[in-house]
Amino acid sequence: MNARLPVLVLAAALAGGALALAQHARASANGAVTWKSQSVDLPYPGPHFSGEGAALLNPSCSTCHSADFVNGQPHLPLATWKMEVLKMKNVFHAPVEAKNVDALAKALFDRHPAPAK
Amino acid sequence: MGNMDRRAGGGVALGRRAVLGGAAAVGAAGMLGAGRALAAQDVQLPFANGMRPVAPAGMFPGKGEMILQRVRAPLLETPWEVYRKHLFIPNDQTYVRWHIPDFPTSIDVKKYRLRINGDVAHPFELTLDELVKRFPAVQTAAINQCSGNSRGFIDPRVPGAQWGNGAMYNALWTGVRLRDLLAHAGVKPGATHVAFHNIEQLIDPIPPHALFYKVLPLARANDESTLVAYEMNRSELPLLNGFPIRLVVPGWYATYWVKMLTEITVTTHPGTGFWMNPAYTIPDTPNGSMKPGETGLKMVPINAMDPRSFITSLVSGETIPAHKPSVLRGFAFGGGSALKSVAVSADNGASWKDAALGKDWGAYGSREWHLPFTPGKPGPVRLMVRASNAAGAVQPMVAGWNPGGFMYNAIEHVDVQAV
Repeated sequence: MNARLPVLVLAAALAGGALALAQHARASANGAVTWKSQSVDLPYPGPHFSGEGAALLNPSCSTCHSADFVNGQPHLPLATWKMEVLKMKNVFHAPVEAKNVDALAKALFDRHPAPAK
Repeated sequence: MGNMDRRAGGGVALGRRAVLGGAAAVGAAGMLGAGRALAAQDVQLPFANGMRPVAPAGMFPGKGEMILQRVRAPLLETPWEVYRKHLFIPNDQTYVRWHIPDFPTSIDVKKYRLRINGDVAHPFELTLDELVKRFPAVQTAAINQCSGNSRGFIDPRVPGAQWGNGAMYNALWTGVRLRDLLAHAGVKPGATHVAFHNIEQLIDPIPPHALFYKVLPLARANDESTLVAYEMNRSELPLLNGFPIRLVVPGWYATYWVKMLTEITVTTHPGTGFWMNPAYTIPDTPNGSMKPGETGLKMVPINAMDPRSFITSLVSGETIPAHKPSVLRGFAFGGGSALKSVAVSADNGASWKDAALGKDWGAYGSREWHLPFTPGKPGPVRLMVRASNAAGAVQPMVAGWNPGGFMYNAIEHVDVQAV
């Protein structure tokens, strides 16, 4: 019994080392894969628009995305903002009324002034 | 903007957010919502309006600290420090890019199926276990890079995800060859393309033509490098990176690397959906480049990547000894073909010296480089790095421009001080 103990200890140490090296690995050498279902939570809905133009932007944009991505856009020409609004309306069917397209583009343009030189 | 240091490699700095630190702080508070700790840090990406909150570890499932570009649908950027430490980016810090928040937050691996159909003799479907057991496993290193990586540096600026350089990751992929699946189904004569659908199911009010799917030419699908991958860096994929399986198209931009892949359809057309045209198209010109405002150009789906290279051993603002050798280090990749060489210039591109390349993990993976360097005198030094690939592409001094802000690959630099 005693003679076998060191072998067991060594085996345990090796196994521990292997686990440490491949902390999250699940594939074994023979290609076996253990599938485990995943269920996660996302920190939705994320930020809405605030400040100037928010009353117009939130109902038009927030159905599909949070405001942070838009707030991080650079200064862009008014015509570019209008194209973006029309893309959201025509491609993604954002709840944008035709009469609001120009006002939305202007609100977005105004929120992204040219950077100071 | 013109005077700003446009190299993210040197420019990304984490800093404690000042109390009441302006708009970004307000945004972070709103993003985190009740019951969560306020994000403690912002990051300044080195371009105008580049301040972003840092998502703390665990805010997004399976993800460590990430630069927060958008909460819904998630857009998470890898902080530059990660590339300084790892050639293979750890799964919990690989970037995340979803267009529409219409993907499931639960995946039942028992119910999940992959279907292969369309213009094939024998359509079939597989459980995840069958995918792994019935087809030979292949491992390959490959860079997954967003088509719009580094879009924030493009001049003039264009709308889209305003990434720094952190929308790319090198990983070791394990999966099965797509061509083995296609051969098993028996592609019919006359087929020209393969379409890839995923598990996304559109949310109201988004209409069917905006459903995300991508199409590859049949030859690219049948290339031996193209995989249906079930492991990333020898672990399961994080859900946000496409668990349980995603397409891997080494050498091509990540828009084709369809996450949560559920259906492979052999077809005779290049696809009519929004995500193939007009989205993710480039001018049919060298490097996908055009002049701002130029019209009448033929647009084609984006495809193979450009070469890129980065310095990681230094960031702008650091010092190096003036009269002692330092070893410059970094990583590079060839893009659509294997990396051929990496060269460094310390004289604004007048002369270049070839760096030594590290282990070759395969044509489409990242490769380390290093080069001993001794500054001749004290003072400012601009170090530039330039990669070229086997197909003959060389990084340009100024990146090409296109309206999508795709394929940025200008020569990177760091500005250091020799003392």
